[in-house]
Amino acid sequence: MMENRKNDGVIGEEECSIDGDILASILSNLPLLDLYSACQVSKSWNRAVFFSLRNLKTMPWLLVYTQRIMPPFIMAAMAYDPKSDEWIELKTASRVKHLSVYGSSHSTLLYSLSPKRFSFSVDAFHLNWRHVAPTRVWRVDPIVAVVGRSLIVAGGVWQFADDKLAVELLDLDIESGGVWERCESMPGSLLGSPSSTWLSVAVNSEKLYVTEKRSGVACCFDPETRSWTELLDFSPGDCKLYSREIGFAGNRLIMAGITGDEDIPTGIKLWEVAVSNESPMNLKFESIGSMPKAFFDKLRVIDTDRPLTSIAFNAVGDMVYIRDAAETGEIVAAEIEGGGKLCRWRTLTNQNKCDATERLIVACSKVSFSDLKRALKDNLSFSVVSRTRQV
Amino acid sequence: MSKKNIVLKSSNGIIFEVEEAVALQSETIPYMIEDDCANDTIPLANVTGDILALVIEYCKKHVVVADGDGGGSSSSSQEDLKNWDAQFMNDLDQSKIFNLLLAADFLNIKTLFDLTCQFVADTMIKGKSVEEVRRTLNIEKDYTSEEEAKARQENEWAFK
Repeated sequence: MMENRKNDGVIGEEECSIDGDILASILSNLPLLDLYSACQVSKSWNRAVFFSLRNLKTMPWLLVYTQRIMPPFIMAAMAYDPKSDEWIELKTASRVKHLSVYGSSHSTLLYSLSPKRFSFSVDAFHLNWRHVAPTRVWRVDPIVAVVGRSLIVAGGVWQFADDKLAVELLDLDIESGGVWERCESMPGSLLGSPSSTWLSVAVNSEKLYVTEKRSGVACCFDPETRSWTELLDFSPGDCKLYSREIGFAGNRLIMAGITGDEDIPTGIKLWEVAVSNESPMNLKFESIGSMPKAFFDKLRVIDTDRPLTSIAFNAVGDMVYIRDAAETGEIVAAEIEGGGKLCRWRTLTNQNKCDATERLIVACSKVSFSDLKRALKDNLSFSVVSRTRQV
Repeated sequence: MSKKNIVLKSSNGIIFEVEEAVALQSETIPYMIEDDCANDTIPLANVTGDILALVIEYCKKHVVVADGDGGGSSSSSQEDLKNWDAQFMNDLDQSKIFNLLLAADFLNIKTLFDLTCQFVADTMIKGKSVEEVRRTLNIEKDYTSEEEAKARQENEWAFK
């Protein structure tokens, strides 16, 4: 561990050389971008970076895209790395032909709809897009989810279609030749709100959860059986919510809800929703934290008279990001600590200002070192634009 | 139980007598106590006196807090401790920091080791260019020009 090898990237003087495991421990504290430059310092640093990856705690980046709503649909991208607490501008050197207006559904996925094809991307920086046939039912504002190897599209159908709750599934394991398969439609109770405007979704590798933001009426889709569960109620007993959002943070199903009523919202609370395998109807809501008052006020600071109708919520890994669905300014973030409670609350001011000709698309990705390397190979460049002040 | 003291001896022969609780933040020292006779001085062949003084200063500060909060750690004492840690590290020069890091590794004091690693990462590496890192840490480049050119081509931004 403490070999005295001179001139081989060993820190310090001969009598106190630091390399190997200790260097790897130091490097595992670095944000990904710095880790990447560390590879180029010397050969032994390159090795140490490799070893540091074992202990590296990757935290999900928030990706904020702004896209022109008119062709050629130019897109700008910013990312927030919670480890370094920095906003990073992402630029592609290669010319990208944007397909059309993108949408986001659950945290990691972006998609794009056109009459000719359906495109979606689930990689960390949304550089790789897969194109498949358009869904059989024409849709405007659907729920889109990748669950394991299934692509699921539900609701959001064109106004005059027969079945507003139509669900289609595409098996992604079939290379280039998959056919959309009609599945059981969403439960009739969601008929009043069958589009992604009114529904919030959470996805893990096995199931898709859907809840009506307002009422908490929820259900769960299993791509194995192609069917929906009976109705669930995403309302924690002790607390009245007028709007809620759900998402999976790692294996945890997390729900964020606005308490009070629409005229006087009192705060934002978060729960972990425990669904037991034996009795999936029997939900348990474990409170994991409340947004501190100061952050809640900041979220609404732009116009406190305007009602806070709904929030937008991204959860991936150990992070949750919350913002006012109608505003683009402040984003409140928190980490989920080992015990499952929220900690280290902070606000981030979105650096990507968006005007009337643009729309905002927010996603969240677990970025690994190899994701970063792949992105650089694909000519994505990263430049740190600001360090937000950690509160 | 009466407080027991432990005597530590640095590589250059300086003697420190500390309370057991202070010394036992090191996970290495208990093994040395078992191996040796408990009343004897524990020789630390890898740690010089000035560095051992710093280690003890750190351990003393942290043992007091561990006692003081009585299980329910108050946020103010946590906050104070964090500030103290930051100040403690800021007052050290680079060579002291590296020696402290080696001592924390050898003595297996996890919190001090983590603190020092984080400090080195934040102040000497983070946000710096490859050249700046080499200069700051006195590292000779061992990549050949071709290897570096290749790396440069792959990651232009990193060399800015």
